[in-house]
Amino acid sequence: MSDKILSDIKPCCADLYAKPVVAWLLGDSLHPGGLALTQRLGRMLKLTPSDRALDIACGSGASAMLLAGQFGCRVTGVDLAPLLVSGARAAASREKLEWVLGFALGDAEALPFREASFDAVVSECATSTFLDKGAAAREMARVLKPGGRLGLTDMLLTRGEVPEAFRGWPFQAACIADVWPAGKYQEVFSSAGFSNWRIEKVPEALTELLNQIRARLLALEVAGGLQKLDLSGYDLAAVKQALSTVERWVNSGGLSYGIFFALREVRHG
Amino acid sequence: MLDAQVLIRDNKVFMRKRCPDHGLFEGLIYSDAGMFASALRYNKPGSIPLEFSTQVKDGCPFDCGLCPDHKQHACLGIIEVNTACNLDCPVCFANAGPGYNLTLGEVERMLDRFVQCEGIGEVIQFSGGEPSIHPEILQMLRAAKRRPIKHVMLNTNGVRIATDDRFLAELAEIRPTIYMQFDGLSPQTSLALRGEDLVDSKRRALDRLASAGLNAVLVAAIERGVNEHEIGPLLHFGLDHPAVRGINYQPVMHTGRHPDFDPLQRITIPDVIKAIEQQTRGQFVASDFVPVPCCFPTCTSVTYAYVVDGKVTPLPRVLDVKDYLDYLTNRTVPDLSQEIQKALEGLWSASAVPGTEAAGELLGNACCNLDLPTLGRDLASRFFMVMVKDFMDLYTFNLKSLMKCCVEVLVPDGRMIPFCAYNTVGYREQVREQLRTRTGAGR
Repeated sequence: MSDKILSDIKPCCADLYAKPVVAWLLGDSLHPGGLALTQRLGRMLKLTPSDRALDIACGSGASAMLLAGQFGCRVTGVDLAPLLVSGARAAASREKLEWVLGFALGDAEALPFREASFDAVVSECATSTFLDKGAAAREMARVLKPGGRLGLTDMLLTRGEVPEAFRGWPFQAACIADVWPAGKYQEVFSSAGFSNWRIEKVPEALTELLNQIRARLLALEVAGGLQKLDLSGYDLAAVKQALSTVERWVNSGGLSYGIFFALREVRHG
Repeated sequence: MLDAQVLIRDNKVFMRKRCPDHGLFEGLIYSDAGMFASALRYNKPGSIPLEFSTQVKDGCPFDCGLCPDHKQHACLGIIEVNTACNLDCPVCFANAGPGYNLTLGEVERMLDRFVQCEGIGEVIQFSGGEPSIHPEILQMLRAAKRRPIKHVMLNTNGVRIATDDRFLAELAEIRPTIYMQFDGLSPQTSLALRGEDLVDSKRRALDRLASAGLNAVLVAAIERGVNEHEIGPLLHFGLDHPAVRGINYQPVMHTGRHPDFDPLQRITIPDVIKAIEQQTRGQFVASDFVPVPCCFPTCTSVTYAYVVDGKVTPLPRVLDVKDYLDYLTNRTVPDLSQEIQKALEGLWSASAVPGTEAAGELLGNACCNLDLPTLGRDLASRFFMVMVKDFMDLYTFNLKSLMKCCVEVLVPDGRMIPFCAYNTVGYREQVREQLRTRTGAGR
């Protein structure tokens, strides 16, 4: 993400995520499918203890920790947010996993790693938020060894265009303002040096997340209505409206969720 | 099947049918036309089961199983494990008496089929006859608990729970929700509907459930001229009793064994709701009730209330239920409380995720001196469900409602038959005869 655009978005982002209640609504792992989908991704990538893996936009490090724990591989997480990176490091040290887990501050479009450093790259529900997806794809290809495996999960545009209503804030942060159809991802990543594509749709991951948000909103409203919580500072009506709009988009078949798997070509360019 | 007209007369909704053999007949379906019209607005598309079990051949309602024309999956699957009963009630839609006992093997196969059709099953309810006297009922409950089914219920008259210590101890381990018939607090009601005075037995059963840490939903059959006046007192009794988490009012189904009745004077959902409003002096009012949108919305209405120190706060008064209609289903278990508990526990556990703020800061200043971990439990344990459910009889039978029914009776041959079709158009008699005369399994 370039500094200029980042500076445009960041205040809004901060504004939204500074309210931890919003982060809570989006769920512990902050992406559709949760850790179960991360596990599936790990199986698709056939991760083994001899692998070095990179998790781009690793957030709080939950997925990196799961991949290291379940598959025994070494995992490096990279994220743009200093707070998340330091939190992830602290968690790794609490779990005594520093020897397999590392976290770095960095930008997906200019990764702080040398060429051919990793056997596998994962990134969950993040590619759609990268402003220059081509640059991110080239960076993924650069840091992967030839023949290395790429596994992404992300929103998928399954019909038509992104409706006007979703192009602005807050959908930018929610991965859907610039969501692409599968073919476009494939095109951009192929020209960055990826091949052997496999794309699976997992719409239920998205539905489940939306249901979870709805349940948490309900709980919150009940607690608020019964004066157990003071929610006067929160605009729940706006959250509900945004949620309904996304639900309608998903239900009408326009938006889905997908797993993307590809190999870094041995020779490219 | 006959064509029918739905008419409004004196602000009441009737169904009129003309039979070539029996002439014209009419039945009351909803005693308040305004409430009927507003309930219809709650209808929403269903979601079909993963698998259907029958083909469309003779048309609705003769292909039940479910057939591909059905518009809803099963929220609630009922397994009638026997036909025998330890009571002999004058009112019994199941017409309990001699017949059959299902075997454990048969029940396991029915549960497997249910899971096959549903993926994750919502509710399995064991019924009868009187299921608690089936020799293998505990194994059956366990078999259901072992499968991906969210709630397991035992529908019982409570007699065995009131008297059998060992049975109660086993239930305390298995932890089903107890769905207990309880029609009123007076001996007269019990005598009229159950043929004997069961009030003390019911109270004892509920006290014993409370001491075993089990929860119950009361199920009250309401009959015109018998126990309408008990609707409010029964609700108060339930609100005060530590074991009771909800109450389900059901106008007596005029099928199977039942007293003579006037189809134009049936008790319907608005009558029960208005009686609740009057007899609780407004603790609950009509606008607190919401038509359940997953089945046909004129079949069931429900509300949830938060109850603490005798103060009742129906949730529709503190939030807009239209935002959360998916949580109002026909499962007859008060599991909205569980949803809320789960979600609020998530609020607590989210704080343990690296990178997020500590628990106390998660909601900023929102949680005024409140202990967050207990918030979920505290709220959930104080919710109370009030449901009103009207089943169809021959006078009110309506295919449009039936096709969206989400309460199904499971049959050993793998079919799942909508409850009102099972009890009204002859399936019950067919299945009972088949099972009574089957070889190898019958007793």
